[in-house]
Amino acid sequence: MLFFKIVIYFLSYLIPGLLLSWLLTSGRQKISWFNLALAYGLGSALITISLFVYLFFFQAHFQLWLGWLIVLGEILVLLFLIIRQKAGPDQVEWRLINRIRRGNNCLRNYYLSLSIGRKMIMVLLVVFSLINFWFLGSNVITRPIATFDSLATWSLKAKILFYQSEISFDPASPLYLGGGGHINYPWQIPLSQFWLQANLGTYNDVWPNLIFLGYFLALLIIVFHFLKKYSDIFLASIFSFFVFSMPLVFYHAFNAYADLPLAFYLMAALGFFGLWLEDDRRHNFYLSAIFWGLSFYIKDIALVFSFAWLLVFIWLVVRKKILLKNFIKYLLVVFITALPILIFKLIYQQSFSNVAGDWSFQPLAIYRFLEAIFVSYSWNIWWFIVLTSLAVNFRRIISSSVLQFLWLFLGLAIIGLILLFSFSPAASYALDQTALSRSLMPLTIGSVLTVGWSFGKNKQRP
Amino acid sequence: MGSLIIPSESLSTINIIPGYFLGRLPILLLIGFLLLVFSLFIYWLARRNGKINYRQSLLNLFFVFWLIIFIWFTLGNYYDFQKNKYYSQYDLAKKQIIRVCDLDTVQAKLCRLFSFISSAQTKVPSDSHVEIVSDPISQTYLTYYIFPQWLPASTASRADYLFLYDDRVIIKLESQ
Repeated sequence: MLFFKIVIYFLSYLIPGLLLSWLLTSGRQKISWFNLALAYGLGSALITISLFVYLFFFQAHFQLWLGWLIVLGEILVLLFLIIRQKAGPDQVEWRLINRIRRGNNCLRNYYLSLSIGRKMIMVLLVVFSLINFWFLGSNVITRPIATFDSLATWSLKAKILFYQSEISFDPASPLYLGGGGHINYPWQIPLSQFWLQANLGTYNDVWPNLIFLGYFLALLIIVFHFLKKYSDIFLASIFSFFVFSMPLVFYHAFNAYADLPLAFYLMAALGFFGLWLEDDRRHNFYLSAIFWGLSFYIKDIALVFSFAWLLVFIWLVVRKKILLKNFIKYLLVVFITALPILIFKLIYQQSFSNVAGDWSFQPLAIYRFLEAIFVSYSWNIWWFIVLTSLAVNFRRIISSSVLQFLWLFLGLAIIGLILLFSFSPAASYALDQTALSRSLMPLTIGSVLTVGWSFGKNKQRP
Repeated sequence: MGSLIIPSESLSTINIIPGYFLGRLPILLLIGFLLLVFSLFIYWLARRNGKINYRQSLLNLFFVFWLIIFIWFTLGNYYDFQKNKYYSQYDLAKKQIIRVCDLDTVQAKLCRLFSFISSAQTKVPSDSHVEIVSDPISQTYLTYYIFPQWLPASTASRADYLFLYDDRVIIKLESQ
């Protein structure tokens, strides 16, 4: 029964997510692992934003059947829109089923085409991944949520909502706007956990791990897909393995924090934008903007990355790599997607900042930043690979607009983080080495795309 | 930051995975420096000799260097896996206690929370409003684990009970 409830929970994301992705791409997207990964991100956002609107804007009492009414209503609306657009099931090639059927042959043929050295590396990748995935699975099903911010913020809100079935709008209540110390935080992570617990029927601290395992797998799939697009399976496999085995990313796959989901949404936004710069397909453009807008529901630090994004966009417009109207269109889509959470912040006067205090330069924060990337084991040797890649691919980078965009974004976002953690009151989170390192997670994973495409084949147009 | 032991989790693991040192030299910095030197050498060779595919060679090099920390990482995961076998024989409540105690091995403030809560259950009626006075970390954990049995009070004056948790003091419960 528990297994059935968990499956139902994930289907409540995957089905509307798949329909939404078909709608956004007018049926161009097929059913594939990549499409399922996107569906997980889109579906979880759609359902949790719906719950968010229901709980905060209608200020209604939650009941499970009402939650499911919302999900089923959305599925029906999406189906209707798809049929109206004629992007429906008649155009869908069931690639996932076909691939599973053909999978063995494809893998066998690909493996046989490799040199002996590459064969050995691929075998090692598979063996290492399977062993560690087994270990990860044991963490997911045995370790209850107990890390600090999870209890202080994400899971606490879910727990309070589970038992109270509504949000408190009484400023005098300790449970005001969901309770906990950070009532300004976005709501997708708490609502994902709440929706799971509501479907399970009992509050349990272990099963929310599955949500984050889902993001972890979805992230690996989209990393592999985006890398394969402009390199080859071998490079995509190695770099996906790097993401899989970055110790801090792996640890976040079962600990109910928001950094890994944020990395998923930003990675999707970056990847689709890079694809759009290459192929000019509109659906890549819109998907990028939507994923960027959805990142605002995960963590407020998305705003810092957005400033970097904005600067890169302006640079692309000035260099006439993209048109001004596309720039405005993109901003508009991001704004519309993020509108509910922005309205929430406006109505309830919640800021993006979580700490108050003076702005002053803290040089030690820069040392902490360097320590986080070059001394700690959080990212293995990844940031040295980034430096190496920048050095050896410099000529390629300056000759490709996509690579310029990716590297410029990476650089500006790092500068944004350094400024945030060395000048603002948030510097305390760098000095005590708490939020700084994990805030690098979206950038670290984004840089995998940057480095991977820099090493890719010469497919990019200049 | 850390010593040469098999890694296990602590409260800070969610923020940063500590690196290890050889004397005062960070091991990761040493490995990374060697990687940079080898990479630039391969690149230089490739520029001189057009037959070398430097991209392919660098990928292989990255993979080999990656395995050094990866082996340490896998050993840590194996250690956690053994621990998980221990976890799996208990129910959820006991798992929570074990994990919180495991996480807080440095300050060891949190492990007694659960005996504090058990004791409070015998003295404080359910649905009471309580004010928690404690250090910020313990307060966060208490707030999470006592809900929904007891509700946080909006102000201390409105609390039915005051929970004073100090890991150096056994238990103090005061009715107002």
